[in-house]
Amino acid sequence: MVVLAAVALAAAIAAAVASHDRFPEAAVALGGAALLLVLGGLSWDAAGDEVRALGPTLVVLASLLVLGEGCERAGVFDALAVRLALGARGSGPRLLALVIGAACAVTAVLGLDATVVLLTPAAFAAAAKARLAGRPAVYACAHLANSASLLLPISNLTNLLAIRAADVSFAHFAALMALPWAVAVAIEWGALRWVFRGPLAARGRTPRGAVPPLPRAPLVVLAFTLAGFVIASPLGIDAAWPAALGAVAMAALTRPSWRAVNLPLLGFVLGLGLIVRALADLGLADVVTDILPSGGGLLALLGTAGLAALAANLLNNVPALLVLLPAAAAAGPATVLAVLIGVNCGPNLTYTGSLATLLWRNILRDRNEEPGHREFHSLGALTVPPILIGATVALWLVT
Amino acid sequence: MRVLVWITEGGWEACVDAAAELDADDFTLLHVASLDLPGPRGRRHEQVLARMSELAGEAASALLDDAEERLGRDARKVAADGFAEEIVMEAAADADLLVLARDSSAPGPHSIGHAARFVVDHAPCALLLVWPEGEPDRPAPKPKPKPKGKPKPKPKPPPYEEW
Repeated sequence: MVVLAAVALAAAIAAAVASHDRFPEAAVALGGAALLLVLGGLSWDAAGDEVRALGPTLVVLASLLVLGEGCERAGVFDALAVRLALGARGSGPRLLALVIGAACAVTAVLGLDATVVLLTPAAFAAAAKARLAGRPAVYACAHLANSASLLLPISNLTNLLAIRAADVSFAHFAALMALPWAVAVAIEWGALRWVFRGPLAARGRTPRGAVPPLPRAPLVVLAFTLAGFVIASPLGIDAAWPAALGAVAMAALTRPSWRAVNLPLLGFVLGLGLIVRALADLGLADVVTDILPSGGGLLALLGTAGLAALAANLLNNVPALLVLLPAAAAAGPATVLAVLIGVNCGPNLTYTGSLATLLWRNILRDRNEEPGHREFHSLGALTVPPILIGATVALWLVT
Repeated sequence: MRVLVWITEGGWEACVDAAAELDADDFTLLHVASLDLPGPRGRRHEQVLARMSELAGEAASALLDDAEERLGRDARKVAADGFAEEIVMEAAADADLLVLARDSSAPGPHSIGHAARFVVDHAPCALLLVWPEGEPDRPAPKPKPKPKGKPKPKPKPPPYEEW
């Protein structure tokens, strides 16, 4: 039965990595979970338990996707692009600083996906309008979507999954992660400035033309939703409620398409959660507990973050977190946060987000005519190890 | 004379100014957009790349229009995307002169980036290489004297032949 569960996990991860139309990852993950249920690898009680625990997380994730899509619909990102281009005043380093600021804000409030899908084109458009190199802006978005997602529980799906295990409130999570987050962003900024020093030196221009107004209503909805998250957690209200209310308000306001909810992603996370729960019940939890360095000392936390980064590169971040989470939660909140530093910042090491993806693509020889990756790999090598160490030391200092 | 002007975001003004002084009537303005988006592959990646490609096309045609206006003459305008060095090399095969700008104003080998370096090293036509802001941002350093190698060992005198 352990073998079957392990095969189900491997198949789900493989489907996610390959992202092939014929084997959608949601179907593979849910199918594996259903098989385990039917064959008795996963008890119905445990499954019900897991669904009840994951449900609210999935509601928050879906709501964040709707909020992001609503902002895009209302023209927030177009207006942002024009403002970034104007604010840069023709200077590459200034545009980079503005894009990093925008990426931090968008990632913190709307989550990693919003930065990748919605802010990246806006940052690219801003660079084009300012006649500045687009690569630094695009790479800044790609990198900060991961490393700036440490700040709030809603910034990354991994944080959402971890916070229910770590037993820390919304505000407490932000307070603990503020310093590690600041260290990560500072290292990214320095590395981006250094790696792209050539393209950043070129002068651009200040674009002419009308400045579209910044739509107020969606930003007000966002602000209220965020306030709802902060208030809900000490009152004992689940974060799913403010998230859902915010999403409904945003949907009423901007009528985003229903495809924004991304049901395949939700199905994949649910299926994966069930499979990992089966594996944990079958004995994986004990194995991971043995491997994971124990205790809240600095070396243990560094080891945990490193291990999590390695796992995120081998398995992708969400599966890595789900596998490590039960053991980490048993070890205490500091260990959970160290795991988050690893799984959130680790994927920047490889161009495609994970080693697994890279290997798979190389096997398929599907290089897709991409330009040289030298800058990306030097950026990854320059930032990920110091961030893992710096952010973990910062975490150790505040816990 | 057929002149090909490689328009880049950083150096287009210098290139166009240099081209405008040439005694030629056949101008082609070429811009190459290199789209590059790191991150996990999949549907989402393709969606973002498509949006970026759309934006890049708009930006390129605006840039080419500005370049033509600055040139003050009619020119063929070509917006391409892909590997810059390959596309420029292909276009240079039909040109007599290629005008291109360095990637940075700081003197030294790093003033020519990867794609421009390839074109400079392999272009089939004559080249006019300009500084992006007309001149380098600081004077050239004094050339280093060529390091003297070890003095050549004197050839050994041939061994005396024995009589």
